[in-house]
Amino acid sequence: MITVLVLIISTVSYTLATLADANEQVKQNITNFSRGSYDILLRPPDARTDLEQKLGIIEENYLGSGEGGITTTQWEDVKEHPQVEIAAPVASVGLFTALKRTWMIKKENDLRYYGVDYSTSDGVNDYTYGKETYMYDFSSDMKSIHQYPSSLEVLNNFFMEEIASFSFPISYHQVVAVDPVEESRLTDYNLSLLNEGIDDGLTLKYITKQELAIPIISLKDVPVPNTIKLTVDSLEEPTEEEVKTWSSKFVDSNPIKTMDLNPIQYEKVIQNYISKKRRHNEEVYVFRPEDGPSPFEILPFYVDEKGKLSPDDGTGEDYLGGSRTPFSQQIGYKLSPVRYDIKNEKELSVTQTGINDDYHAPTYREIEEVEYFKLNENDDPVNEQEAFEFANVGFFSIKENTDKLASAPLGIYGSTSPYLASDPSKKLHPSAVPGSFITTPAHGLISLNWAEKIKGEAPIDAIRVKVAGLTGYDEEAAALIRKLANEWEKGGFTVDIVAGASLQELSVDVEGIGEVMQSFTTLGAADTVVSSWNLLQVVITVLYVLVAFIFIGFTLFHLLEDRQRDEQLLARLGWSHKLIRRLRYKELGQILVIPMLLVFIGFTVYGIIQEEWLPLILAVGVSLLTLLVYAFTTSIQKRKPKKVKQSGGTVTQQNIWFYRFRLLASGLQLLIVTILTCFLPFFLLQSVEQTTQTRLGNYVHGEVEGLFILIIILLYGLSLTTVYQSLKRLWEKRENEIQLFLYLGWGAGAIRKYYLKEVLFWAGIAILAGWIGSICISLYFLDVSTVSVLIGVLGAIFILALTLAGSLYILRCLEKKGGRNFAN
Amino acid sequence: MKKILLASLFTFTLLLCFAGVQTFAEDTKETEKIDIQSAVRAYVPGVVYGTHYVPKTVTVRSSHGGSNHFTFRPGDGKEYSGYEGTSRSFTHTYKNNTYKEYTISARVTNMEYGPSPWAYGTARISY
Repeated sequence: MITVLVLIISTVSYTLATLADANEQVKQNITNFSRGSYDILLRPPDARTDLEQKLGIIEENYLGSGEGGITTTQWEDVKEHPQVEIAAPVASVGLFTALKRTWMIKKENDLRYYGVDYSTSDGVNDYTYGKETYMYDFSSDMKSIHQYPSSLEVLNNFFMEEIASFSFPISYHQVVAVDPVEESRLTDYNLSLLNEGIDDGLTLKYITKQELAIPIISLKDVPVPNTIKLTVDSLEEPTEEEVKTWSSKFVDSNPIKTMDLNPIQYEKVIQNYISKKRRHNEEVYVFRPEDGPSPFEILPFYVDEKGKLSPDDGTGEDYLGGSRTPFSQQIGYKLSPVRYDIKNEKELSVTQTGINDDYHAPTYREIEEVEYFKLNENDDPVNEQEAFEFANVGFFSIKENTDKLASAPLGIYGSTSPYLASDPSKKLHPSAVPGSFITTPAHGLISLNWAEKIKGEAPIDAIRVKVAGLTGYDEEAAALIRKLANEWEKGGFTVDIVAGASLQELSVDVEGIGEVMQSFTTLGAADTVVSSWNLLQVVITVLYVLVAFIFIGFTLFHLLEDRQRDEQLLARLGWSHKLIRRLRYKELGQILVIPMLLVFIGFTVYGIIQEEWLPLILAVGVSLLTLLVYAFTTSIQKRKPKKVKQSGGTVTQQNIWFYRFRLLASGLQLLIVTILTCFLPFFLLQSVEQTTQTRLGNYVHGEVEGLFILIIILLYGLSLTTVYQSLKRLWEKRENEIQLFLYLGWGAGAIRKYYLKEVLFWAGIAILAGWIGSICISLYFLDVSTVSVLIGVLGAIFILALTLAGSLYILRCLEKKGGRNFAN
Repeated sequence: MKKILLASLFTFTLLLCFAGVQTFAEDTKETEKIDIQSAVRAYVPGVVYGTHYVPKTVTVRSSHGGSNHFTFRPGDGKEYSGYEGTSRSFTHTYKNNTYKEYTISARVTNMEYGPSPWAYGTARISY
C-alpha cells in the first residue's frame, strides 16, 4: 500500500507539474516565435479578399496586382507615429514584359538554317510556343541577300554578315515599388542601389536617355522562364535557276512581301522548295531558363564558347551585335486576383478561365492591358515626362518565412512553391504565360519615388508596420498592437494584425493540373494554438485528477475494509476499542504519512537539484486531497450496513445494490474510460488538427506531444487497474459464494453466466452513461459525425467486452482455486 | 604719406582677397584640349531611299577609329547595335502601306573617347 501511494502521489504531482511546465513552455513559444518581421498590415478600405473574410487566410504575394489607394502623405503620417518602429510601404506597379532584346550566335557558314523553338513549363506541364521561328539564310555576302524568315520580326532581328540574332520570347514579370530605407530595415536587405543613379557606361549604351531610366533590382535566380532550343543546319547552295523558280512563286518576286501579304503561299514555297535544301546535319543548342538572363537585364546576350547565354561584356570581342525595342515596357498588365472557390476550411478549388493563344497553356485569371505612356509615329514618347525604361542595377534575394514559425507575409517576396499533392517532389511555378493561379513574388523592385509617376496619386497598396518597443508576442504586446490597429481602423484603413500569424498548407484543386498543396498565412494562429492548448489542458487535467483520486479512494476503501475485518477479529480476541483505535491510527499513520514523507523528501531533493519546487507544492496538495479522500471513504465505511430488504428486483439487481459501494469506483472508472475512448481521441484529433495546421502550432504541438501520450497511457493504466482490482476483490469477497455454488453442483458455465450477468448489468449501465456523457460533451466541443458516433459505439462495446473478459479471467482463476479447495 | 597708406591698404586688401585662391590655367587648357580631341561624332546618311519589304542597309560611321559601339534606329521602334571599327552597317526592312519618311538616327560610343550625340537622317521608303 505504501508503494502504491508513493507511486500515485508522486506521479500525479509530477504529471500536474509537467502539465504546468508545458503550459509555460507553450506561452513562451508563443511569445518568442509568433512575432514575425512586422505586426500590422495596413491596406486601403475594402482590400480584403473573400478568402481573407471567410477563412482568415492570406495567400502569399497578396499584393499581386494592387490598385493602390494609400497616399505618400498617409504613409508619412503612419511612419511618424511615436509607437511605430518601421512603416514600410509597398506599391504594386504592374506586370511588365521582359525587355525586348535579342541574343546572337556567330555565323560560321553563310548557308545556314536556323530554327528556334520556345517552350515554357509550370513545373508539371510543358507548353510549346505555337508560332514557328526559322530563317533560311542563303546570303553569301552583303550584296546578295537571300533570306527566308518565318516573320518580318525574325528578319529584322536577324543580322547580316557574321551573326545570327533572335529575340527572347515574351514573358511577364511583376514590378513593385518600395521605400528603400524602410524596406531595408524591414528585411535586413540593403536596397540602397535603388536610390543611386545609373552611371555604368555599358548600361548607358542600351538606354535611350539617362533621365528616363528607372533603376530596378531584380530577384536573383528568376530568369525568363523559357527554354530555347536552337537548331542550326547547313544548306545546299541553290543554283541560279532554282532561285529564279522560287522568286517566280512570290508576289512581285519578293519573298518578304509574300510572307506578309500571302503567308499560305509563302509557306508552300518554303515547304516545297526551300526546306528541301536542308542537309539535316543539325547542331542543337538548348538554353534552359536557369542559363538565361534576368528579365530586366538591359544588356543583349550572345552564345559563348560553352554554349551558354552571356551578356555583352563591352569588349566587342564576343558580343558583336543585336537589337532591342526601346520603351518596350510602355505597356504593362494588371492581373485580376485568383478566384478561389471555398469547398471547406481546408479545401479550395480554382477554375480555369481561359487558354493562352501563344502557348495553349491554361489561364486562371483575367489580364488587363495598361498603356503607361504614348509613343509617336517614330515610336518615341509623346510626353517624355511620362516615359520610362527599366534598367537593372543589381539583384536581391529576400526570402521570407523560410525557417520561421511566424508568418508575416510581406506580400511580395513569397517564394514557397506549391506542389502536387500526389507527388510532393513536383513543385509548381509560374510559366511564361500570364494568368497562372500562382501569384509570383516581385521580380523587380523600384523606388517608391517612381510609383507616383507610373501609378498616379495614392500609389501605395499596403504599409507593413512594426510596432516600437516590443520584444515578443505576449499579452501586453498583443494589447498594444490591438490598440494601434483600432486607431488606424478608425482612420479608414483595412487593418490586419499579422503578429501571431503562421503558415498553413491548404489543398487547392486546380483545374487542368490536379490537387495542389499551397501555403497560406493564417491570421490569429497564435490565439488558436493558445485556446486549443488551454482547453486540452483543462480536459486532460480534469480527467487525470478524477481517475487518480478515484483510484486512491478505491485503494483506501479496500484498505479500510481489510482493516475493519482485522479489527473485528482483534475485538473478538478481547482487545479494547482504545487499543484497537490506537493501533489503527498508528498503522494508518504509517500507511498514509510514510508515502507522503517519502514523496516530500524526493521532491525536496529534486527541488534543490533542479531549482523547481512546483512538484513539491503539488505533492503537498495531492497529499491533502488524499487525506480528504481518506476521510470520505472512512465515512462510507462507517455506515452501518442496512438490512437488505426484499425488493421486487431480480437477484442480479439485488446483488448489485448490495455491493454498490464496492462497485462504485469500478463503475466510475468504467464511465471515465468510456469517455476517454469515445470522446478524448476525437477531441485530441480535432485539437491537434486545429493546432498543427500552422507551422507555429506544429512546433508547439511537437514540444508537448510526448506529454499527452504519457498522460493518456497513465489514464488508461489507472482506470483499467481500478476496474480489474475492483472485480478481483469483489469475486474474492464472494469466493465462499462461488464455492457454495460449486458444492451445490452448479457447473462452471452456470456460475460464470450468473456472475457475468451482474457485470454486464452494472458495467453496461456505467459504460452507457459514459457513452451518453461523451456524446453530450462531443456535441458541445466537437463536430459530431456518423463515423465518430459509430466509432464511439464500437469503443464502448470494446470496453464492455474487455470488462467481461477480465471478469471471466478472474472467475476462472477463482474457480480453479475454489475447485481445488472444494476437492481438498 | 596718405598715398603710401592708401596704397598699402589697397595692396593688403588685394592680398587678403586672393589668399587661398589658386589658378589652374594649365589644367583648364588641357581639359579643353581633351574635350576638343574627344568630340566623337556619328555619321548617318542625311537621306536614304528604299522600298518597303526590301531590306535596306544603312552604314553608320564614327569620327574616331579603334573600337566603337554603334547604335542605329531605323525610326520605326527598333534599335540595332553592334561593335565594329570605324563603320557598321545595319539592315532593316520597312513595312508601310504608303510612301513614308522615317527619321533615322545613330549614335557611336568610342571605347576611348565615349559617346557621341545622336545624328539624324531621313529614310524615304516607297510603297
